[in-house]
Amino acid sequence: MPIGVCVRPVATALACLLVAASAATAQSATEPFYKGKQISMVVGSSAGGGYDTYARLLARTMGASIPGNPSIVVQNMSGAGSNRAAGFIYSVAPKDGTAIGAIFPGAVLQPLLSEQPVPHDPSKLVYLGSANSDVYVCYVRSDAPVKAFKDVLTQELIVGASNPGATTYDLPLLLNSVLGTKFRIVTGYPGSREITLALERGEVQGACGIGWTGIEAMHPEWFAKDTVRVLVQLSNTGHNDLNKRNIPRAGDFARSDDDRKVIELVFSQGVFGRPYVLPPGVPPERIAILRTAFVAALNDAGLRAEAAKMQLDVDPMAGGELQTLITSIYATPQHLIERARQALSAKPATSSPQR
Amino acid sequence: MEGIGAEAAFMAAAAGKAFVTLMEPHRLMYLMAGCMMGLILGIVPGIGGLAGTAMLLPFTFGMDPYSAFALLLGLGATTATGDPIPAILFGVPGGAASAATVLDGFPMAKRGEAGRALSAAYMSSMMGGIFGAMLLAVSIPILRPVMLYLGSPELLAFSVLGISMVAVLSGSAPLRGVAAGCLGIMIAMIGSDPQTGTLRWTMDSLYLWDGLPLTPVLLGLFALPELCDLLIARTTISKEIDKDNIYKGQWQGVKDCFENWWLIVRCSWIGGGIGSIPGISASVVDWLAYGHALKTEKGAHLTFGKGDVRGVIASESSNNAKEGGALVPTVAFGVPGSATMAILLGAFLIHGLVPGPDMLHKNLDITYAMVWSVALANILGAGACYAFSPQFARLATLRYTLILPAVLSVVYIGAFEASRSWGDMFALLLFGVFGWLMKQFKWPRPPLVLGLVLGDSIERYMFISIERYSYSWLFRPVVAILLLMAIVGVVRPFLADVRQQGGIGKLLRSFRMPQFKPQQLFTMFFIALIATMVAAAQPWAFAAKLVPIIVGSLALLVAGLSLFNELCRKPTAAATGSLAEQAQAEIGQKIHMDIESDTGHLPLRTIVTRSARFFAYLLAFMASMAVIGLIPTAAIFVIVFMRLEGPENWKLIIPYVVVLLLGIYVAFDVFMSLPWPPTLLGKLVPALKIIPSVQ
Repeated sequence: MPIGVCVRPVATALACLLVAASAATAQSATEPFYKGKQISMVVGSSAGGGYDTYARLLARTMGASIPGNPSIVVQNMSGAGSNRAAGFIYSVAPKDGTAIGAIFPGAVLQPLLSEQPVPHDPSKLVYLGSANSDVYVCYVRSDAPVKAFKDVLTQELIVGASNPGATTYDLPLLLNSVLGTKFRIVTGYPGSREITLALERGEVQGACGIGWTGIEAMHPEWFAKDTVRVLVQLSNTGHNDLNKRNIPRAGDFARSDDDRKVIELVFSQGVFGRPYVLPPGVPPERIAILRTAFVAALNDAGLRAEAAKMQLDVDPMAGGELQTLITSIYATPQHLIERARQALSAKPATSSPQR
Repeated sequence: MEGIGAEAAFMAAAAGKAFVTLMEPHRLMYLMAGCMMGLILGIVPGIGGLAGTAMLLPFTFGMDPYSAFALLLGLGATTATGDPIPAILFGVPGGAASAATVLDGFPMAKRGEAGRALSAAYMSSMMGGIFGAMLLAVSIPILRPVMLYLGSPELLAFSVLGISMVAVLSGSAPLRGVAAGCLGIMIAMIGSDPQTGTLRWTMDSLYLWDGLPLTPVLLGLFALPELCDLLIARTTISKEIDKDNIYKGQWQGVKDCFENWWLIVRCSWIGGGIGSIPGISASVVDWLAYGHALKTEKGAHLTFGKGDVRGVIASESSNNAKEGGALVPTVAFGVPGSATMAILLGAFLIHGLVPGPDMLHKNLDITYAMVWSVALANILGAGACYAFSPQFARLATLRYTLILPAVLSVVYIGAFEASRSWGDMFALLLFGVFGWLMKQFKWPRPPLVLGLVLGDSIERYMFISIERYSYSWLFRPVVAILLLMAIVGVVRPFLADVRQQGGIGKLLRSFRMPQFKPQQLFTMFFIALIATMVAAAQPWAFAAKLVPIIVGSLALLVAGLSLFNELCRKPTAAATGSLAEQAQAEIGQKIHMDIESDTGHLPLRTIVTRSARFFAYLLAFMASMAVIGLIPTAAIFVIVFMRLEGPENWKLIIPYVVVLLLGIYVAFDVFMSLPWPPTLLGKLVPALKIIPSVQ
């Protein structure tokens, strides 16, 4: 429409926009819903992070598996450990299946394990699936006095951590309170890469709660030459490679059935390493379309090849399965949730270090 | 000796091979494409290279590593070259690391020397970028051992040394400077605390969990006050300049750089050095270099902040060097030195490269290709800027009714880009008002930024150092030297100040009965603010409140002293005249470490009504944004502003609005795909969501 028509005052300008808008909304009813649509994928981390990399990889492929071939645009919305993005998907995003959230597993369990309340209920989100599962590990420099996991039950081990709420802090703390390990947690590193650098320069002896695939991709020589060794897997099932090497799982050291269940509850977030969610209230047929497309995209040969090049581990978990898992986690008996939360509650002041 | 010779020969061979490879036409094309995008992203305030790099990354998957890094580094290295353009022309920093450029660049533009300032900025950017890359190139063999030597205590000491620059950057108002620095540190503590997870001063909002993002705060502190004063003064930024003058000024800017080459070398090493330390934000390198120049350059304490070209040179040479520095930890350890480098790290893996020792031996030529890319990108970027420079310089001569609407709209969206949330808008507005008041009442703003950026790393690394080494870390040689330097840097100017005032005795005799003046209300507000924050911190866990309470108490002490000083100090000169003149008289003869307000000639009444008008525009902008979305608001704002303030001709307004909207739409909706916040209009008439930014 010619701009010249819209000369005069403000009101006319707005009217012009209105006319343009209504003309563009007209569409045929027989076509698939997603034809010509745009899906926004809201990522709970800033551009360039691991969650962002996965989301962009998925966004490039997934549109082709949805009838109507919508385009998928990645939007970054970092903040509050992805609780902001989760809240956005829960209450603000459109409920017509044109908004997908990529959030952290921690945000899924936030109401259960954290003392900070959030204004939304992650158990009511619709789960599209998870792109991979992560096996967290504890590893130490091989020149440290602690050589095997049982040693850390009697000897102190200095591990680097970023902050409460991060796996590098929460998981060693959990082992300390449930299994009685003696991890001395040095807190404040900005992220896992900085912890790894501190390990390399000997400032810390080890780290606990860093994903195995990522660390192996960055430092393959460490484990090949045994300059750094894996003590224990912080996972309910373990990683195939590590299971083959007989690396123990933390759950094996539980002293009671309740202890084991508390550990398993916290570790469960590793199973859905990269969860994708929809707002509650999306029409069921569109949920089905998106869930199918999610798995199809992640099993696509092109995506797998690209992921392999980027050293990204892809291990899709279907939406239905994940939804059931989340429901069962949220149905955990209250006393176990309470114990887990207590085990994860932040340590007291640094002035009285727990030795 | 032989070993060193062989090593040097190996390095030279790798560097040569990298250069020849990079010179292939298609790779140069990628480098140029990256540079162009970087420049554009740099010029638009608030957007750095981060989003652009993330967007480009997938396109580099199919390329060879040399081309991929040429494209990505071309973009990353030149954003800092585009940054000074809005900083100099409008007083609006184009990126976090060019806020210091505003201090001298903007006054130069006001004097009609925009051409010279821009030229000096490009040239020093280029030279700084090249020196930074050179530093990286020659230090490759020692990178890993040096980096492994720098532990958390050393990082802490570096941050403390950085923050000791507050002493220099406070100029003639040391008490206010320290108080502002403390407030900066306290603002940095907002959010989830790294030790205990306590949510500090988050006021129950998710927005503040991760702390305030830097961009809206910086735009608020530095951009809005300048724009507000522009509206108050109702003038052009600079008087008419003729064409010859621009070219002469350009040549002068180049000469300035060559005359001050040693300053450029030092500042680029500061930039490269700080940039290479992972875990310390490089967003303050401009202030550190600026402070360094202020301390060491002849006569700087008389002219800096009033349009001294050396101020521009110091700031710009350091911020272009930081990208070369940021490559160091990325290449040597896989720890990204900046957010852009984190994305570059993604490119490493795709091309089968593992950061670490291999990059310094087996793949040394690729490392050198990166060094060359950074150096060449700086040359190309500066060259492109020179080509458009006369047009840029003329922007400063436009009427305020033409400058303000576009710049203000972009500042708003730039701030929104930070975390894509309403919180950004409120932060921008709050810090805009606060910054303007600070500027009016001669409170130096640079210390606040320094505290804001370094506060977080000081707290982190202090806890790590104490937890890990108890107190033995204080005796590590590098730590001891750096901390001593920091102490000397703070104490010496203080002693000199006391001596200048005629010793402590005379200082104490120069007081009188308290007399109240309206501008002291700001100091009182400041004290009340800090006191409220300290009070709110009382119930926190010990580790969470330790630093905030120490810093808050210090702030209360110095702000209290400052208030006492204001109330009870005998005036040195006649305390009449405008608000700004009174404030100037109060802080004495030494330079004020901030931009001079040029609204001093106006009566107080006019200043108050016009500034109220300015902030009313901002409020109306935000209200309208909530109703009809950001992009339509920008259109209405521009039209209303130009009609009410001008009134400008409709023939001018229409194309202006169309071009601006198109630019905003393409950059932010199509390219960056910002998640716009929901609007009332979108809720009432969902069909209208087809309009960009109406959600």
